Amino acid sequence: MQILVSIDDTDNLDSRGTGALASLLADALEERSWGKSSFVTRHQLLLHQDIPYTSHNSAMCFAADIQPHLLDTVIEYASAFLAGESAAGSDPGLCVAAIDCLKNRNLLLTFGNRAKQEVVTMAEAHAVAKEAGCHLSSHGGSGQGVIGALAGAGLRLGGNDGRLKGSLRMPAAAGRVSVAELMGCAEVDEIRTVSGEPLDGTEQVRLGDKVKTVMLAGKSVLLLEPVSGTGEIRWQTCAKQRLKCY
Amino acid sequence: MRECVAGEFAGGQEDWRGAALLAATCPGFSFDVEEELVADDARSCYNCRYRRWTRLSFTCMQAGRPMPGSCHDNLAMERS
Repeated sequence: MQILVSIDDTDNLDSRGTGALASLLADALEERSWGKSSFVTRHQLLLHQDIPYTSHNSAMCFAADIQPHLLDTVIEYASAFLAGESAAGSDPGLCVAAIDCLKNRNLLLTFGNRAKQEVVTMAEAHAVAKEAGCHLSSHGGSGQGVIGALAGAGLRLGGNDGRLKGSLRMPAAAGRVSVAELMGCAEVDEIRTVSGEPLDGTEQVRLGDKVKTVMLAGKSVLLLEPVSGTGEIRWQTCAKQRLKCY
Repeated sequence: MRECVAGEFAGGQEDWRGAALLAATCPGFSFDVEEELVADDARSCYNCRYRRWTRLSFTCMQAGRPMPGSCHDNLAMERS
């Protein structure tokens, strides 16, 4: 059974981030042999004066493949984990969506997109979760984190939003590597140019610091941008600033 | 350069040089978590855990560290 686990608003100014908790949760599922976890994605939600986010209003989500009879176990564990590990003053929310059991997938997708564009309420989030058929719960504070948690699940389900947490660990001779070698990274599903074209495996790529992938079409995609000039290497990994919009 | 809302960095969200210049002399700078780093200049207000994004820019949440727009307007003028 494929599930999405999405959390939001677990941190405060001085604590570890929500992404760290998402990674710990993803690891915990595997350590307990409950399933296989996928990468964690970060989803930017609306920045607006009427939304009480700590500093950036982003939700974190990961997918996992678990045995169906363990769904309640995972939800109970994640709930207790958030209640115990979230920072003082935070308003943690948890969404667990079993993809094939959703009653209304489009509602969840729409909610995710709405939360990027308009102010939505906790009541709306709970109503959507109920109608869509996914778990949504708050674990402290005001409960405001349910909005981001649900939106994160919707955006991850859509598959075209967010950056992956972490960066590639890719040893490269003299800072260069081929597209084929990059495709050998477990964290890379696909390589494209920023304008969307695929690249031949023999193309050489200049590696920057902290190479990150983004989520496109449900995959972890490494985007490359052209190198200016007429040298041998025509492509390079994107600077952080180039990926800010994902 | 847009007009600065009170308390916001006047450079908006993509004044990479300005945000790096500000952070260079800030005694309260502290890195945000990895997934929230967006600037290639490591030491940048855009990468600081006390940066709170707003719709068009950010505010600084360091206690006792207001962000008078005039400072950043001066920075912007120096660069232009």
